[in-house]
Amino acid sequence: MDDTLIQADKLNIYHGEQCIFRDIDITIQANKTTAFMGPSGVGKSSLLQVLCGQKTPKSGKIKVSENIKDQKLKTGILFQNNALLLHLTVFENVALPIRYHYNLPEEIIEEIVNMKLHAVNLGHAGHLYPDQLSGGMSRRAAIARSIALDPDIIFYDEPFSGQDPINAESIAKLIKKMNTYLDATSVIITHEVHLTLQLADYIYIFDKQSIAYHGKPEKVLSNKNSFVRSFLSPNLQSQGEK
Amino acid sequence: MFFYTLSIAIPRKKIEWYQIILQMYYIGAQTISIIVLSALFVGSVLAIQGNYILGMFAATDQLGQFVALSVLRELGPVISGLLFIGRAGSTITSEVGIMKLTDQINALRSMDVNIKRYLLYPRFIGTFISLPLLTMLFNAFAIIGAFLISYYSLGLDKGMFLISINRYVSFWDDVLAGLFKTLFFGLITGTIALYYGINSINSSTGVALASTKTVVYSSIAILLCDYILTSMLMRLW
Repeated sequence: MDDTLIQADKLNIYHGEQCIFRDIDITIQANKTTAFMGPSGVGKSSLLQVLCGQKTPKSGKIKVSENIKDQKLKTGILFQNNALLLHLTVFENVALPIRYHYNLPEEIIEEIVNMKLHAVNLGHAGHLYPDQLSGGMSRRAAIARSIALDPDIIFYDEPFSGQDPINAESIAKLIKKMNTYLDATSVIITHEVHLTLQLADYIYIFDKQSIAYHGKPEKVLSNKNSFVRSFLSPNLQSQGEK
Repeated sequence: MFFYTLSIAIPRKKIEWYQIILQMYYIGAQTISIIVLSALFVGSVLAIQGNYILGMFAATDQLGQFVALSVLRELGPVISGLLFIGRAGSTITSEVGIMKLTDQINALRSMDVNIKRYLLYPRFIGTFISLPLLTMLFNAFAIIGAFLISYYSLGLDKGMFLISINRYVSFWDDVLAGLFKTLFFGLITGTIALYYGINSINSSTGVALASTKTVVYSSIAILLCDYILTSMLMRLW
């Protein structure tokens, strides 16, 4: 389990009485980008909640790498709707986790927050409130907040949704940058096949309570599974493949 | 159970204590204007009605006492409480409900922020501290309103108004008894507002419904509590 950050075995995830996933095994490699894909409503967000500790699976084991102190992962989460605190400015949103967990002088906090904001190209927007931001800016502000505490792993729930192609591309580059410079691990939930194939190091495609495919992106295109091909086909056609 | 959970979630971090001060400003200070305005009108109407009723018994010189005792013992705590529910209680429920609806509470959890200490307790303690202070303000301005009306509009002697207050109003039995009730009213408002906010259904209708329930149930609870406390206090004193 040397390169493995999270190993989840025989996970059974339920929403009330409804089974979402049955006996699935998930491996998240350290410092890599893992993508979760699948049709809407298959349960990707529920799986994300289980992996980041917000929800308890009905059964199964989740093991964190022994390299992590006390096996307690520092996580950052980018929510699908950004979930910025509306009564705080962008600066205060990013500063909140730092102020909450550390007793640092205000000048140091200001330096750290400005660094995070510059990393996402929002250095000029710290004084703005969330309702004054464009969609792309909101997304980047939420990313800045998710990396405020230099997390071990960052979960991105539909990071490209609602973004135009140029913004989506720049967010994909940002995610790659975070992995490189923070030495972080990323887990992305997305429907955006084209960007995912460029970005991800490993892909899981889910269907009907189980894993339809898991493997490297270059192998997913040659996969013979009919569901996988039909899931990917709109994008395969746009890339000129049949 | 929820009340107990709230009351033991005492802040431990500086940022959590700071939230208490912020909430006292939002809940308390921003309610001052409606309290003062309402108090002036309530006091004025009380003076007019009191003058009419006491006039039947040729006792208009007792108007000061009549107004002061009515406001301090009953009208001040209850009307302040009801106004507070409408302004602060519904705001707390809506705010927490919307935070839940838009995943802001989940975002706080994801940052390992303790929701009870950071979000709920400051609002809970804010209502507990703010309502007695607002009631004191209400009492003062209601009596001022009555005084102004009785002198300028009803032509009564201002000296008599003030003397009857001084002679017949007791600080312990009248002023403090009324304020004692507001401690309970504040706890009730805070508990109900936060309960419905944090348990609201995740939709705009759900938040609106939760806000309505806060106003309705808090109002009934305050009136019931007022009856119980008044009965207890009148037997004891």
